[in-house]
Amino acid sequence: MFRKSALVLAACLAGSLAAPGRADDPKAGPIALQQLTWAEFEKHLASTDGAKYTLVDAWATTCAPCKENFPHLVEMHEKYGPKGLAVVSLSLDDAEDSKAIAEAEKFLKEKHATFTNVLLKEEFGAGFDRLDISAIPAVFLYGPDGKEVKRFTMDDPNNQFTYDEVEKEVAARLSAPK
Amino acid sequence: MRKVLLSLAALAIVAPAFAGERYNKVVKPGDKAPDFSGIPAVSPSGEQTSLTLSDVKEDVVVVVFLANHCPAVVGCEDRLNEFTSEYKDKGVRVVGLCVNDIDQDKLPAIKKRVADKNDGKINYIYGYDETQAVGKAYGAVNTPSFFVLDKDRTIRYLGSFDDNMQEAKATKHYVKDAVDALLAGKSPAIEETKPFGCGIQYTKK
Repeated sequence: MFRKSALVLAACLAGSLAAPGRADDPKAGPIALQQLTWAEFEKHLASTDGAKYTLVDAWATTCAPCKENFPHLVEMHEKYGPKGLAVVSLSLDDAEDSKAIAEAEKFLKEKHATFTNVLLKEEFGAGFDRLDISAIPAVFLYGPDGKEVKRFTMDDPNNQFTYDEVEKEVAARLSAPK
Repeated sequence: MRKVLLSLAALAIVAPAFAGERYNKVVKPGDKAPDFSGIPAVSPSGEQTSLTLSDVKEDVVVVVFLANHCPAVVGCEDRLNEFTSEYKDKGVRVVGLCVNDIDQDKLPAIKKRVADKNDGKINYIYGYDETQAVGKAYGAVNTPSFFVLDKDRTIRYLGSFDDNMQEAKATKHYVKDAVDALLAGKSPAIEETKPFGCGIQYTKK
């Protein structure tokens, strides 16, 4: 059950590339891809410095719909970052495929992904199990305690999510009175 | 894989792996396989043909949703090819289908792939459903995604081909086991697994 998966490629140099930049700081340093284990990733979600919510977009370099929709993530970061939304891209590329990692970094730079960019440092395919999804792209909204509050997936062919739906959810939650 | 190890104890206590677990949102084991007909397709020799489920006479049909662009599919091709060869004289027909709405995966690309790369890689009929209706009817959300149908064209297994994207690491051979069971007149021990692979994006109507 486990792994098998999906899509793509590889590995890693990036691990040491950079410290976790603040997800919602457009002035963050150079765009980097950091490798985190699932445990480290969960810890990161629960420590997002004051962000009201954290939006995580699971993608991979071989996922055409993921790359096609990536600009929506960048837009949401620009639009809702100042209002308390932290954004994280989570690559499920193979952490042992250096070619894929280089491609992911190139893509993130091209898209001006000035938020936290993570490559899951787990066995290839394990991310699907960890996230309990069958396909990507998939988007998750986490509360400040790191707990998932909403997910958007492609798992039901008759009810696949759109990024418009994601934005509506984000806008509604950020504008809701505390 | 680690998850497998970690949960081994639990699995040992609880029944067969995956028993009762549902992943497909549309169909389940025991359902009648959605019919399809007149799907434009390419034969292993590169000729244009078409796919109609009711035309298949073999006792067992393996319907697999594929995509040219998908590394997970490419990674599974050798295994699928071997499987097709091994079972073709045993009353088993493999039917490849693609429903992706991207140029790399459409019929001309399939035709080119079969023609250019058919160095033994593709030895099954490979169809393209531009309406995406077949994929939706089967609840396929990623590639490769397998469906094993019995003689009555009832779905008896659905999910992944085996338990690892890397052939050398695969220890459970779900499709083969399901097919072997059906050929032996038995029910597959595992009826559904979680398919992993590249997502299929359906066009919003």
